[in-house]
Amino acid sequence: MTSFIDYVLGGFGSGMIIALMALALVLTWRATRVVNFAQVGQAMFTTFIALSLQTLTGSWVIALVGAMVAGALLGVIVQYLVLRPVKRADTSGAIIATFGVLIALQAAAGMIWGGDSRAYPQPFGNTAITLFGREWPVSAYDLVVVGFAVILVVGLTLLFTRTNLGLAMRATAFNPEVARLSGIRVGRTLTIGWALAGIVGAVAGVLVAPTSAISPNSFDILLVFAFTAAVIGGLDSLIGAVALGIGTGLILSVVSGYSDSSNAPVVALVLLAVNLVLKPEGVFGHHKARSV
Amino acid sequence: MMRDLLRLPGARLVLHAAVALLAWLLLVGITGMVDPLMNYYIALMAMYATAMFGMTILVGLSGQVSLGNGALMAVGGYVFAVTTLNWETVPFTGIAMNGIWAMLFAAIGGVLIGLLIGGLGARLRGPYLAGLTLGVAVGVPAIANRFPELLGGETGLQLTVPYPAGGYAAAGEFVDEAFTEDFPTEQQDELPTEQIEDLPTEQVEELPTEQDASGDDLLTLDNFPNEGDVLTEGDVLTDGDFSADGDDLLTLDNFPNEGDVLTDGDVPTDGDFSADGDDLLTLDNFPTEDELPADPSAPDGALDPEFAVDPDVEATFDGLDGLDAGFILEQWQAVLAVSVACIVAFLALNLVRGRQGRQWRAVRDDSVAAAVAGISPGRSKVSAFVVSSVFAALAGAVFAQILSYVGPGAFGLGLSLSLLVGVVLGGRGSLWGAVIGAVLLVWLPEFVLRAAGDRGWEEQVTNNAPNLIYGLLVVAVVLVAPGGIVGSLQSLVRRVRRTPASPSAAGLAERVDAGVGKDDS
Amino acid sequence: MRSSLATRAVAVGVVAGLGIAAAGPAFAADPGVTSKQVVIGMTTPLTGPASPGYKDVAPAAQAYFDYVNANGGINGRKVKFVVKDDQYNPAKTKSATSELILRDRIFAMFGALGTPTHSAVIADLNRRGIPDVFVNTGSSNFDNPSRYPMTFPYFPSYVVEAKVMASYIQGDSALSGKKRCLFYQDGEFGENASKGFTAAGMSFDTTVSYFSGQQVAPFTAQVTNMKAAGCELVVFFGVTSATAQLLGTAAKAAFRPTWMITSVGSDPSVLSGSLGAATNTLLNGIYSPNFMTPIQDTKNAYVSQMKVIATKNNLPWNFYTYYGINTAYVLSQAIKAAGPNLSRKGLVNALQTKASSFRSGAVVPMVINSKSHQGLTGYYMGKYNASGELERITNYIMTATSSSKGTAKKSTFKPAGPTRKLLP
Repeated sequence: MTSFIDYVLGGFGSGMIIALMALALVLTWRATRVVNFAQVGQAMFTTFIALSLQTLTGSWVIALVGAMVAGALLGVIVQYLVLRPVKRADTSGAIIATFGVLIALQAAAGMIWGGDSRAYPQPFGNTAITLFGREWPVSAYDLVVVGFAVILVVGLTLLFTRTNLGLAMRATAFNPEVARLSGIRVGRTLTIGWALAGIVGAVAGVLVAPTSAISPNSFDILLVFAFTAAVIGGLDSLIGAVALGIGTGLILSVVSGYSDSSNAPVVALVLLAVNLVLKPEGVFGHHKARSV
Repeated sequence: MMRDLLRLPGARLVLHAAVALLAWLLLVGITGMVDPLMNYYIALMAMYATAMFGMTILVGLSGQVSLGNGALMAVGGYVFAVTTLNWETVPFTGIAMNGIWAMLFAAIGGVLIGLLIGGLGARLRGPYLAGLTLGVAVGVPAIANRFPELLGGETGLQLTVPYPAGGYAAAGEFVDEAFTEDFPTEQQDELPTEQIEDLPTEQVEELPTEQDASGDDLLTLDNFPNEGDVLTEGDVLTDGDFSADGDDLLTLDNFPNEGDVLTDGDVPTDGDFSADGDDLLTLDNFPTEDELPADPSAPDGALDPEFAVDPDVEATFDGLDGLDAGFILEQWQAVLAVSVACIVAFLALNLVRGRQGRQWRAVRDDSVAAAVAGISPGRSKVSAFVVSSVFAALAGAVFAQILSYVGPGAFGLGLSLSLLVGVVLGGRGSLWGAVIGAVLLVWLPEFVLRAAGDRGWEEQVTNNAPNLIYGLLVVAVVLVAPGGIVGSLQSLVRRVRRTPASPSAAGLAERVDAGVGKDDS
Repeated sequence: MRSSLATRAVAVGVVAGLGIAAAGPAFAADPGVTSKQVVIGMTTPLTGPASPGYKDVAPAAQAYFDYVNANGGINGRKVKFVVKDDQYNPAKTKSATSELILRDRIFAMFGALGTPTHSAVIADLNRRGIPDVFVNTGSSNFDNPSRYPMTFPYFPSYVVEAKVMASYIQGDSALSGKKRCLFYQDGEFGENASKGFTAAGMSFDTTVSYFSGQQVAPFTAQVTNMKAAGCELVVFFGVTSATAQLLGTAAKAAFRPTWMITSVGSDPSVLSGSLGAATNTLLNGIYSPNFMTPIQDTKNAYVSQMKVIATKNNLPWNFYTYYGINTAYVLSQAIKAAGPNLSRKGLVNALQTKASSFRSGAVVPMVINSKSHQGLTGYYMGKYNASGELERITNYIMTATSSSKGTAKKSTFKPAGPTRKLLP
């Protein structure tokens, strides 16, 4: 039982990172009905920018803010230059276009910063917390990661439910034509959605970097986990992405703890398949009338 | 007239067979005329085309997205590998196993995995199906790691591809003739063991362990025996230490004397390593270009003229290079891949132009209307998945034979995404698009490598330049030609002819993905 | 049926058409070698997930060949070195190798990297009789002269390394009494490690593993298990990125066993890239076997001179650069030893008969003969100091084979000094 608790707590930190990345995927999906394969590439790129800023200024906060600004800009650029011209309904085309962006971003990062893994400085203590007479596999830094995730989810939820912008974004996501007719500036709304996703991805990148180092390909595997989490969570649901992201982290940790770690990807695949069979719209997907 | 003929029963079948046969004859003829490297490329293109005919049906006609067809190819490749490696005869029949049987089993594997994933995916739309197939793309190759004994784990399995007689004759003869005497057939496992086990053990006991070692005994920076010390008796194992046959062991007798390779003057002696001996390479005495003795026959840095030839011009089959002469493995691979591709093309033509094709299109365009008309949307989608899966599995079996290897790394997510790239760039919904996409998949990486070239940039720039160009090119084609190459050509032809639009691939791309991406809006 | 008939027909046509029917291959001129040049090929990941660290090997070898070419080449021949990026993907390795053979007309393959990648081309290289020198992997499967007469591994296999670790642990009273645990990467690392430890008769109280790619997430579950099991000595077989993740996770969990880490998983320059400021503290006291003179030992004639070549070419001075220059140096000596009439057979013969005379930064004997292509035969044990440098702590070396039987034997070996100015 004790080890179970440790496995769960240990998986929580990485689960949070997967959750944030899944959140970014959901934001782009809600905005433009596109699954953005380049999301991890954008996050990788902005994390390298943050690392450069950190080296330059020595400030973790400036680096984080810089990454968020860069993330927003990069999101807008990708959306404006690449996704806007692709037909809204062209799923395969959009997937391929974002895949192309991912390859280009990784190559560009390799050109600028080299292909080696780089350490990202640890801003806070990363040693186990001792409480109630035992050590827990949780550090102060983990708590900071959790704090950021909570702030982002609450903030985004408030944005979507309590503001005019959020209303406009939901309306646009639901039906851009109708939204346009009701006076919403659809193009701008979509762009803001991508900027938000870029910011969330950038935060995820900066947060994960100290524990895994950073290289042009170091976030690749995150894409798979985050995409899986976003899909099972129901691509429209912020809560779903976060819950399933954390869940994916926990499953990886618990499976690795109790059995051979090579079972983890297979277990993840089986859970994905089972989930999609039982809930084709995702666990947290809204049950809506079919379009036909 | 033609149209009337086609109405005859079986006429369409005959026509398609004739087309496939003609294509096959033409391509096989080409394989006889080009050099081995081009044959290798043809083999790859035909292999990709085989898989992409399935992608055309799945993505173009049935309107489903798959990010996992690379994993379906893995299924075919692994079935081929495991059956050829483990079965001497075909089960229950006693017939000797061969490549054709193995490909048949691969196809059966394709049917099964297609039924499974297609069945799971039939209820899913757009991104959810993409999510499932992405999981398949990552999870299926990971299964190989789970069963290392049968599937070879991450290292993969090497195949003994059933080459036709003569395929490797030239090279085989060369190796045999040249080396038969030198290479015994015993397993290497047993041989070196004896030698090493005879290394002296008594000497070892005397060696200081870390704890009791002090000063001179412990290897330190100061006493490290490096500076060109020529070996002395005490330092090296003595003759008596070796009871195994001496020739293969490093002994004093067979230890290379400087004279064997180098002249006395070449080997530094103790004195030479007094920090700044002339013989020691240092930053200060690093030779510069002009200090070097000029080679009268070849100026420094200039390549041998024989190799300075443009590779394009060079790459003709001149039959002069001993080993390349008569070496037709690549041609055999090309003929194999082209044959499978033509058979698959024949099947695909019949499916696409027949009743099944109409059903797929009907479900894609309007599944409710199709259901009203008596077509089961679910069954239609699963059947498309199964067909694409069988084609992918056959392509995987061909790929396994081209590589003579299967492994998770060769069938990763990158391959799955490449197939989608190929079918989008080539043109969805058209079998020609699949063929053009296959050519692009082989030619593009070559093209970007040349486009990037080595321009004397920094290492990290040169290394990444091809990938950057590739990524941007993919984006550019999707933006400039949303219907792929075929779609663009069709609209070009239309514009030239100024005829009213017929259903084009560009328009098709929209409709196809309208069906796919149709979410709740 | 169809294909084989067709093949036969076409084959006959081609053979007849080109008039090369029974003409045996010409031995006089192997592809890729003229009196003034020899072409050497390499496939290695220059980009992609496997490229960190390993991408430095090819430029280092290139730097050495440039240096040799600038000094008259080898027996008057300049080395033309063609490197292809395969991104550690076996399918790309196959294409790259086909291009090297058929377009670039390589004389020999050198330093091809990776077990899965090389598995896809090794049979082809051997059937064609192309020397496949110093494959860059610790897999024990490639040392098999009866099956792969052309293939020559360089560094000692993971099996040898496991035997060496076992031998050292058993002989060191500070370690032999500790509760032992084994942590490995699934696949080749795990198989080879368990083969070696089993042969050496060493068992572990707890065995845990991770899968390749998992290192993006912390190894919390694995560390928890090892901590709960009370592991005092943890032997780790995996890649460097995983070592970084493991040490970081363990530090976080206040899990402080004695570590023993495989040589390929412990390059300090790459680790310090990943671990940052904490590197030296984390590395201090870690055991790791190695087979080359420690890289910081610049008093050594090999290290100082190789560092000069690296510095001259603006290459980072890390283990991969060191290794790249070192293997290029050994290959150059082999080509030189093959004599002025360079042929593939001559190169193979030189490797099989004169390997023990080749100088290199390695401090263990090299065994290559017609019956065994083992390459380097063992390791010394090293330990990281407080400056993050690996120091040699055994003045003896431990040698073993990749066989599933036999243990490592201690012996002494004093390598010869380098050739003049590090030229072949």
